[in-house]
Amino acid sequence: MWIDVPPFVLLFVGALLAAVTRGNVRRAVLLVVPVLGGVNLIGLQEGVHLQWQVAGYTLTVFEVDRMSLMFGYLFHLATFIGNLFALHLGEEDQATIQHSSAMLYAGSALGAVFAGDLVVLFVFWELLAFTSVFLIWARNEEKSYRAGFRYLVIHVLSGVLLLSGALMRAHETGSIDIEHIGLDGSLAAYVILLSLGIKAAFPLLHNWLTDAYPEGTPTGTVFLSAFTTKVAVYSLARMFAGTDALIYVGAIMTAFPIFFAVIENDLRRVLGYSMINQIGFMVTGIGVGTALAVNGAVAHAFNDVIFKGLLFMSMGAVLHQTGRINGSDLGGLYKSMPWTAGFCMVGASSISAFPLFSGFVSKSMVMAATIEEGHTWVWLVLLFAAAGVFHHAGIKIPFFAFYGHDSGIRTNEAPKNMLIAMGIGAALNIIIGTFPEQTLYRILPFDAAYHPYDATHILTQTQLLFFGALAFVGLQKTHIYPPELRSVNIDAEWTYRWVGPRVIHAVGRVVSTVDGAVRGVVLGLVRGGLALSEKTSAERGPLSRTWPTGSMVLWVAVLLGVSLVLYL
Amino acid sequence: MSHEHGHPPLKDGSEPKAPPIGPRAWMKDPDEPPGLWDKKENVDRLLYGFYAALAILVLLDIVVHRHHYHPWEALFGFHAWYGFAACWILVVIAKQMRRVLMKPEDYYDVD
Repeated sequence: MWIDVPPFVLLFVGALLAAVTRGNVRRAVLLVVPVLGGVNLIGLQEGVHLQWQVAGYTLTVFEVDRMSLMFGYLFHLATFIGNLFALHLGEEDQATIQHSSAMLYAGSALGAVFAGDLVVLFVFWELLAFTSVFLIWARNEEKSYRAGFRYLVIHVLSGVLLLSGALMRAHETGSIDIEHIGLDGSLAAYVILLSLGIKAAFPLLHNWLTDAYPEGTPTGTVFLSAFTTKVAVYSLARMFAGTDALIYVGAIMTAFPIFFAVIENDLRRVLGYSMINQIGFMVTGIGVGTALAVNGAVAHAFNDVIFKGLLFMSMGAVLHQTGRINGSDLGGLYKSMPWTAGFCMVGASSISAFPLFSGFVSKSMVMAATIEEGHTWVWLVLLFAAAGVFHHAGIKIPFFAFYGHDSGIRTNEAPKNMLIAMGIGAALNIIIGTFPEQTLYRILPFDAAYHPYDATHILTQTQLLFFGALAFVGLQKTHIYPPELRSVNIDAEWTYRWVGPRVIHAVGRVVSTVDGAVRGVVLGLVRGGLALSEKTSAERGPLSRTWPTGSMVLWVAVLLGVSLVLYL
Repeated sequence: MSHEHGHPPLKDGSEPKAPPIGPRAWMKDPDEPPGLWDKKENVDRLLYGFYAALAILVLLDIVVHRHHYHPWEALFGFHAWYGFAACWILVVIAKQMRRVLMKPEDYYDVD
């Protein structure tokens, strides 16, 4: 084996090569670099591989254990699939910017999961934001520029919080290592959790995701969905496993977004909401904190990258081919894009956790751990959300894009590279779902036996999903199901996109009114003073008059006379 | 609210339009033969198969001796009715949320 190159270095070099090459050479770079990176991980020993001395401090740049290794494999896989999906990009798509920033972004994600301390993590945390925003801006639309800026501001804030928390922690404990922190009552822990919470899309901090991801390019959003939130989940698992609050935060995350997903029109935004729902399962698992629960959380993160990536790819292919993405403006595309429709159905089955598909073998680990630890109400919420996810991501996405009301739009099947990328994603979902013991379970960080395929589990999950589907059929037949409408739904972003600007305007108006009044009074005073001084100092005014020297002498004589009379 | 069935009108009072289709798409030929799911009998066949599957899943609940963690799980067909109720309630509530949450497409656009 060669020397241990930090994984991010390979991808950063790949990004540079992608920037300076063109045509088939660049295509080769895009496909070979993630494979080389993956091979680089094979056989890595656990432990610290690289430290830098900076100004007397030791920074751990490259540290390996089972959990980071698992995310390392995952991110290389996602990079390979994403690059393959984006292989057709031409200069009109700003291909150079997209390819290079995608590789830099993937490299930053790898840097973050192999970081050994909070300062190195912070550097990659910020790089994640600065490299990925180009995948949004490359859409080249006014809306994307604005959404990209909002995304950037929120993520930079998250980074600043992380650094602040790290410094506070260094001051308190003398350590910046990435280790279990938990909510120990220190301010540092809360600040770090808030930083992670922004990136993991905690409730009320989540809106950057559903705001920015649908504005990305058709291929860029596939990368966006893979890295940022998973780095956050990884960091939570490292630092806050077993933190009770996360059980409830996660449960809320599984439940509230699915209501928004039902009434959302932009199908990639529906996937954004469904992503928060899936991260909710991971956060709950991390909160429960047992070996099975955390294994379940990171296994679900692994699967989510693949099935959510597959769903974003299928919607990206639809957007690429038709120029549309709203449920209200699509339908009937199974006639033009049968392969894409089929791959989308595999992604939908996986996220819905049908037996033999990947979601089944990971989501159930979190559910089982939750009820084993006695969190009954949380378990019922998760079960509700598990049925709901089938409803909005499993049925709604394929139904409104590919089936349902025929929009009359016809197109060609997606380009070959897109189809192959989706095919690989679909195959992985089925392989992992069918043979978890031989694949995913082998690379999980902890030892915790779990067997997803028993009669009870298969039957109950199938009942849950099929009867959820029956509700969809019933709601459609009775016309209760809400139609897809060209609209936006207000969410937490309302505070900073609607209230914020108006408050600033209102405050501005008050300030300018008060300012105007004060200026008026002061101006009046100044004017009055000027007038007075004009009156007194103008030509022939008392202060401007000239006095004859003779009268002066006379008055001096008078004063002297008076003083003589008085004092003598 | 008028929002119930129509697209909420834009700020200038006009109806929001679908974006134009992209350069790789076109509108269908009026003579195009109906597709697989345009035929009602195919949809019906799919639904009959689906209903049959539902019936089998309920019957299996009698046959399979399920183990359970929570007492509710022991109820007959618990996951079936829970899944059905969850989805129905989800959609009905979400639909009502539109009354408060739904705004025109140009809601956040800068004037």
